Amino acid sequence: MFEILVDAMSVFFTLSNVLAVALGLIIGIVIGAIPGLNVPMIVALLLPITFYMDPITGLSLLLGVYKGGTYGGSISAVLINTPGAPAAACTQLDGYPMALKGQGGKALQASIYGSVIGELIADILLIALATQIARFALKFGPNEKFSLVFFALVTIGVASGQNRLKGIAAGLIGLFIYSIGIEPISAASRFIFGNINFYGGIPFLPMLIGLFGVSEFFVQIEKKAVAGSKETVIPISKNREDNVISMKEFKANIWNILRSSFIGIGIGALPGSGSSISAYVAYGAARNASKDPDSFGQGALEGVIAPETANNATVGGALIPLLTLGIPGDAITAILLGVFLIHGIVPGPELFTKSADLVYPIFISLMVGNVLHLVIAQLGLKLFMKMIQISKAILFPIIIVLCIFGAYSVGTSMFDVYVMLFFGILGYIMKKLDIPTAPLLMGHILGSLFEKSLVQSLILSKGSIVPFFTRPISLFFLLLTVFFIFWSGFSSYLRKKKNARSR
Amino acid sequence: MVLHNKQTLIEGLFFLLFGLVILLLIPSQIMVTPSIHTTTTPAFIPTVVAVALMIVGFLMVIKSFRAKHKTTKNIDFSLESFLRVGGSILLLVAYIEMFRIIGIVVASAVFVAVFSYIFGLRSWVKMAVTVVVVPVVVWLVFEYVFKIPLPHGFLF
Repeated sequence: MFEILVDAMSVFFTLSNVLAVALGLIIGIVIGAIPGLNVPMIVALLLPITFYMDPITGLSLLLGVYKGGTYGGSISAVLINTPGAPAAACTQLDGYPMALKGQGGKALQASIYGSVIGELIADILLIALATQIARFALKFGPNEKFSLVFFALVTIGVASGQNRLKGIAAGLIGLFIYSIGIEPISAASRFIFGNINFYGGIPFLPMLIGLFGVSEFFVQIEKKAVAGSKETVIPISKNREDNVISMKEFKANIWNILRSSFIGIGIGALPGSGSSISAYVAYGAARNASKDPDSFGQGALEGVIAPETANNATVGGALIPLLTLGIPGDAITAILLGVFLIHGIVPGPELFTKSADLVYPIFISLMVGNVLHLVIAQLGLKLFMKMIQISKAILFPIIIVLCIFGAYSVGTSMFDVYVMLFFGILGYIMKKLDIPTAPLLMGHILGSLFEKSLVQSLILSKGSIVPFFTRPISLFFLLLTVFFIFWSGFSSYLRKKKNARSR
Repeated sequence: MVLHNKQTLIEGLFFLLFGLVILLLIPSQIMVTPSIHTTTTPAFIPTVVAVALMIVGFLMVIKSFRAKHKTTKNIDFSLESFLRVGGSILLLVAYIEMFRIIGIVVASAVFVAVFSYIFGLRSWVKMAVTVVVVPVVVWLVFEYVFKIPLPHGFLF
């Protein structure tokens, strides 16, 4: 293992790869910090550019964006009381009160340290466990693969907050969109409507740019013009004590950091969860474990460290099922799955045998990303604070131009541009109606594996579904799915009961 | 107009209808070719999706009638927001169609100006800089750095 990593280092350490990680982190932090812009959107916009890069360079850039974007949201959460990314909404609870007390610098330092340590622990665990999990997953036949994909699709639908039925419907629509084009087993055409452009299926990238880029453009354009207004940024104190974390404060938070890291990794590894959930769970756990729980919400340092550590640890946690099983956990990892496929890398058990020359350098890029994250976040803080104030009247016209150029460049086809526009409108309607877009994307991207494994299983068993229940791993995933549905329904029932009692 | 507790009913009916439309389209839109396997047909997954969507839609309709409390979250469907979004969709269609005529770079410059004005930019200097810099930089990156052929029109 150690020798493989040393070889991977010699492959990774080129100027272009290191610069790609650094650039990805800077872009991610800036995008994460600006409310209204989000990581899936910018990954979608950068994706066409990575086509023309070496796979390691392109993936390093996008993984840098993922890491940077997850942290970047905390800057605006602390300084302008508006989370730049959903995952930072929890950071805001104590980060903003700290900024009001003149300790904004300390809150941001806590956020940087928490994020980097959380990421580091998650990445080490990913590197240590990935090969073992992948080796085990090599035993999976079509039955196991189908049950696993079924589990992933159901959980991401069911885990869509209070809108479970909407989440499931979105996943089903994603499966329907996948089914447009040529069927992979018998090559029969489906839902072509006489248009030859549909034979190749719905193109992934224009769909992605539409769902995450163009839809946000519509959301922003709907709001009234506010070009002259600027966000009020709370200034950082000049007093050194308010801007640094003392060794005593750091030591007092070691358990908090470790606990939050493992919460982040565990939740990240589950399909359908993601960094927002892990941040809140870690925050709750930190509060329960705190000697002074009443200080939470009033500007408690622990209340900033816990969610920030957990949400960045989720990044590494989410990469575990993605790389070892080929199963994405949320919208960003679903996009990354598409990125890997576009670059000819198929995430899953065979990744470590067939694409070992690519996957280990990517592990190195994650580790290098942690070091660069620490440096860039510290040095660039003042610049990132200024970027929060950039006018949306300039930003969003730039974004729409990038969307159009990006969608066109995929296949130099006007059809792709119109597909992007269609999904932009669909994404906007879904946002207005509170229908999650992640299950739709998952349905589309996992549709192929879902159908192929189902048909192969049925061919092997001559049409019988019994092997799904007699093969132990397949049965395990099906039981897990049933458990998850009941657990989700039961916890929702308990929540409703609690709310009714408090009323 | 403000939609509130009817939202779930409308969404449920939409999913129900969408599933039904898929079911009705399957016979005409799925060309089943002779296959080596007979356990499933290419219509299998779309049929499962359609039926499941109808079930989800039906459950949402039931849920909307069983709701004891009105939902607190309202969806703002004001005329102004409809016009802003509807107008921007039409502008985007015009932008895409103008590629063929005046080329992607010039069309982008025109629409950067239009959209920044809609977003409320009133500084002519900032607008002029954005209009020139953004399309030119994006064009240089795509066409010269990444060698992607872009559509050019009679202007450029």
